[in-house]
Amino acid sequence: MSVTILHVADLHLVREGPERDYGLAVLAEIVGLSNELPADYLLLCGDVFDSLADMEALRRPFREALEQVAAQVLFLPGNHEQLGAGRQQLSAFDFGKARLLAARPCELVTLGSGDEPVEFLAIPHQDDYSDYPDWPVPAKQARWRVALAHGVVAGMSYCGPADDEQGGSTLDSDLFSRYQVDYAALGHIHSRPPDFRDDGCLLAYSGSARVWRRGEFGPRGGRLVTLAEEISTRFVDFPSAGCFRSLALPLLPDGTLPGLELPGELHDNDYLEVHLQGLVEDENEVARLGERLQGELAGRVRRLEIDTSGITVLAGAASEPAVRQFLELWENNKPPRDHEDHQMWLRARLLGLEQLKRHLEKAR
Amino acid sequence: MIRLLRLGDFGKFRGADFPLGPTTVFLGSNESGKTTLFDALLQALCDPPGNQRAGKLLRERYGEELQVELGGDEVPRIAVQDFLGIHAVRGGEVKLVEDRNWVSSLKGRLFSAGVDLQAVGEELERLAGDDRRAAHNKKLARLRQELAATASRLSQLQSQRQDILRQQQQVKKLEGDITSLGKEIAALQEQRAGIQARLDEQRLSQERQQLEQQRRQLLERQRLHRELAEMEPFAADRRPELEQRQQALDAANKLAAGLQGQSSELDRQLDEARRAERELARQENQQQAQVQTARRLQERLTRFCDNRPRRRVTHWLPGRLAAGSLFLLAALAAILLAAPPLGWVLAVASILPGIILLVTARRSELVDDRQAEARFINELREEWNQRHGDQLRIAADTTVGMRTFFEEILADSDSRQRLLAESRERVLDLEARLQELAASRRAAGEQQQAARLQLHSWLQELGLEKPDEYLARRQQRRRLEEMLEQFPNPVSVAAGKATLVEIIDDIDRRLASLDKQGVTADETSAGTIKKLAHQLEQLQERIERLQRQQASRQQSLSEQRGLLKGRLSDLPEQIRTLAGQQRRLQEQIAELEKNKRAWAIAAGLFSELARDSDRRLAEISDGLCRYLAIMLGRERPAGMTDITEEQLHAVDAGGRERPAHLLSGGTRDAIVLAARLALARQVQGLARLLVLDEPFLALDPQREQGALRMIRQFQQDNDFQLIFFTKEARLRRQVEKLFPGAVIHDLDAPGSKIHNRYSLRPATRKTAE
Repeated sequence: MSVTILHVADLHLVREGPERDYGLAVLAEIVGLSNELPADYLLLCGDVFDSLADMEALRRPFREALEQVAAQVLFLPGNHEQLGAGRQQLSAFDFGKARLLAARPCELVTLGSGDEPVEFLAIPHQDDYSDYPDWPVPAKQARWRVALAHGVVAGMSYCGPADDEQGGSTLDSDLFSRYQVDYAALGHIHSRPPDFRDDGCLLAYSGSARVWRRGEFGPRGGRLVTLAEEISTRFVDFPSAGCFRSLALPLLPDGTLPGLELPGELHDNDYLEVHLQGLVEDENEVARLGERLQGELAGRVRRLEIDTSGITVLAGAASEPAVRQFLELWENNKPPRDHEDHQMWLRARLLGLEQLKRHLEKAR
Repeated sequence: MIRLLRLGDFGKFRGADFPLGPTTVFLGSNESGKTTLFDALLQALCDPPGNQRAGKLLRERYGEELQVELGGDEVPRIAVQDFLGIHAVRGGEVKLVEDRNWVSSLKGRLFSAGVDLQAVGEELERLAGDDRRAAHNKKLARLRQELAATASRLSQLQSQRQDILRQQQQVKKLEGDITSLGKEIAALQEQRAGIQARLDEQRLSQERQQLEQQRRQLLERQRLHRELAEMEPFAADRRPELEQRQQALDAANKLAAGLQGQSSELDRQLDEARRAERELARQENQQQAQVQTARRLQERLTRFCDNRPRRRVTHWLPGRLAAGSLFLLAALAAILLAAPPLGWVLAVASILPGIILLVTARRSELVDDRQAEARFINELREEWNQRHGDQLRIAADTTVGMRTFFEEILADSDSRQRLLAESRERVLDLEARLQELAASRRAAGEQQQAARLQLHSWLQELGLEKPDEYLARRQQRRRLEEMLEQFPNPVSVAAGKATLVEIIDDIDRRLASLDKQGVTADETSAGTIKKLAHQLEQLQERIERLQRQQASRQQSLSEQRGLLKGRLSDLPEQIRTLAGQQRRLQEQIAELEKNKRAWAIAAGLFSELARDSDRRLAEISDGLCRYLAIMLGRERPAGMTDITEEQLHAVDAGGRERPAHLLSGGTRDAIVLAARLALARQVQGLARLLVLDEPFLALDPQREQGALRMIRQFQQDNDFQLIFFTKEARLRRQVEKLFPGAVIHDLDAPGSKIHNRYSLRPATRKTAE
């Protein structure tokens, strides 16, 4: 007898803007996947809504979506569900099939059919976990105990952008091993760090269920957890969430693009950030190029941002022979786009031009 | 060739036409419009786009509408950088840096609009390098230090955390141990209490038993004592008295008994005799019949024997018979077998003995007729047996036997009669003796009585009934004494401090209290008590041992608690923050390192570009030498001795070969000019135009001539259209001299700015070459 769990977090549903439907589509995919696996339990480990106001506005679609889920749904509040809370209590709202586990400091529920009950230790996001040794957690009775938590576990290695670890409060992994937890379903970190073992307890982040901010590279999704003789877990991807992609486009000094090569797999759910870089004579040309690109690409992706922070301006750059010679030589020697050194060569172009610019400025 | 430069509303000019020849000179002071014309040329030839610098500058200076036009066969189209870099030689550009980098700056001037590519490359290399003095390397080193410090602090915090967790675990374990030890100890103590209770019970039981036993013993002693007291009379040994009396009695008894015995004996004998007599008589009577028969038969027998019947019997002696037979047979044989004389003799010899033998073998004698005898005996026997057969049978079957039989019977009878007479005598004797004895016996009896009385009264005195009781009593008394020894007096009684009764009372009281406690005198063995006591001891040891263990753990616990720095509290937060810092430092370091690699790549590119420049310089070195030679007045193109990619050696004015940077300024300037010409020489097609704007600004006057000659030679060699801009009238004269047919425009002359009457249409563009 094994138990299947779909562990999901950081969906950040928002109530307005283009991201509203995007988020709800991902929620629908989650529901579909849960029924398809089929999962016995669906764990929503925090930051399902981007703020309390979003939760209030979207609670009906949320309930409706969860109507379809066959598994038992557990909803743990994260730090975002408390944003703008003021007087409001989460427990006053109806979340339909999702069972809200918001009791502080923690709450233990035992679920499951007679022969394979599973204990769930829910630890909602709170500011201070330091008195965890005194928590009233009963001794483990069932074969498995799964924890839900939302925060940053000190000591785990993270691989995402620095922003990822901002916010949230810090938990210690000893909390889980002390209370005999077998699997800790964690939320808050949006990237996909490797899972972590501490004294018999497996701690894992599911990663964000959708792309919420720039820099969240790689597929988005959740984790499929199997409780059997051993506990195993792997990532599952949500294609409807798309990916964050970054494209660096080096410009010629006259502000033109030598050739536009788009990345092969661009999906209409992707969030594409285009970086225009280079030394140009007239920044207005860059703006015009940006608009053109916007027109061409905006329809192909869910969200497009054009970044021009990599543009430096030097009057006369287009007619400087040194610039021309350097760019020609660079163009002839650069490795192809899928080569591992390509990014390094783009950087070399930028830095070479920068140095040249200093020379040219001095010369003048 | 371009034949006309026409300006509309352009700067200082409001409609002006300037015809151009193969060589044209624009002469004018500053502010006369030379620059404007130069710009006009630039605009007309290059038409730089408005978003580029050149275009922007033109529009800034001369407005959006740049009314310039070139007229001619075919007007070339030249790129701005080519115009400025190749076609336009401006005096200010000839002077280059006056140091070791002169050659680099020459190359820069010639091929990259003044940018010293080598220098850029070197700077990039320095950035890519690890020179510790560089600011970014210092920053890198600092970041690395910070990273190391952060890592070390982080691992400190991690190990603090581990310590705290481990201590917490130890504390927990110690607490657990202490609790479970406590439980064990409590259980053992309970056990101990149980065993103690049982042991107490057993001891009380034992005490009770002992008391009861003691009591029994004391009572026994008491009883013995009492009994002994009762047997006081038997203390002394009065056996002699007893013996004496006993002996007397014995003697009397013996006498009496003896007499009694005698009397009895006599009685017995008398009885016997009487009986014998009676018996004999009876027997005699009984046998009378037999005796008579015997007598009778005996008589007959005697008569028979006296006339015993005889008969004659003949019997043959077998031996003789046989012998005789043999002889006869021998005789026969002799007759038959032997020869007649011998045979007859033999036969006769044999027959005679034979016959004798045979004859003598017969015997006849007279014998008793045994048969008649036997008949007779049978007769007698039958008669006897018939009469007395049931009492006595005759066995004998011979006369002798019979005779004997009868004689015996008669003899028996005689003897019986004799005996009878004897026994009668005896009886009488015995009776007499008995009477005598009776008298003695009476006397003895009295004596006996007296002795018995004496003994009896002595015994009575002692309360005895029989004499052997005395010994028994005395023995009993002795046994009592012995037994008493087995039940010794308690010390206190012996010392006279208490009596036995008191002690027994004490015991009774104690037993009563034990009774109240319900203590029974169960069969307890000392073994059980010993075993229980041993168990108790062992338990006690275990308890103490466990208590010591518990105490030591308790102490450890206190120590640990003392050391315990409390909870993790904000350590996880600190660790997280530090880990974040560490990551950021790593990112920064990675970024810097990436920059360095990128700088290295860029440096490589610039180095290649610099080498390119070197190569191009080498390409134009021929031309350069040729023109330099002309300029310097040498016949042979011997200006350059060595152009390598790095060095440039030239022969100076004095004829000495020197590296470029040691040449005089003038020589160097000449080289630059020659190089410009050599570079321009590579231009093909329509764009063979050279604009010289105050080209000799830096040159010495004596060099000017040489330079002009050089330019003239250049023009002749390469068929270039030349346009001069200068303010030197001298130069104008020199050009007029050297360049026949040169067109001179004096811009200072009045009216020169407005030169034509034509209105200008917007400048049209000729297609580029």
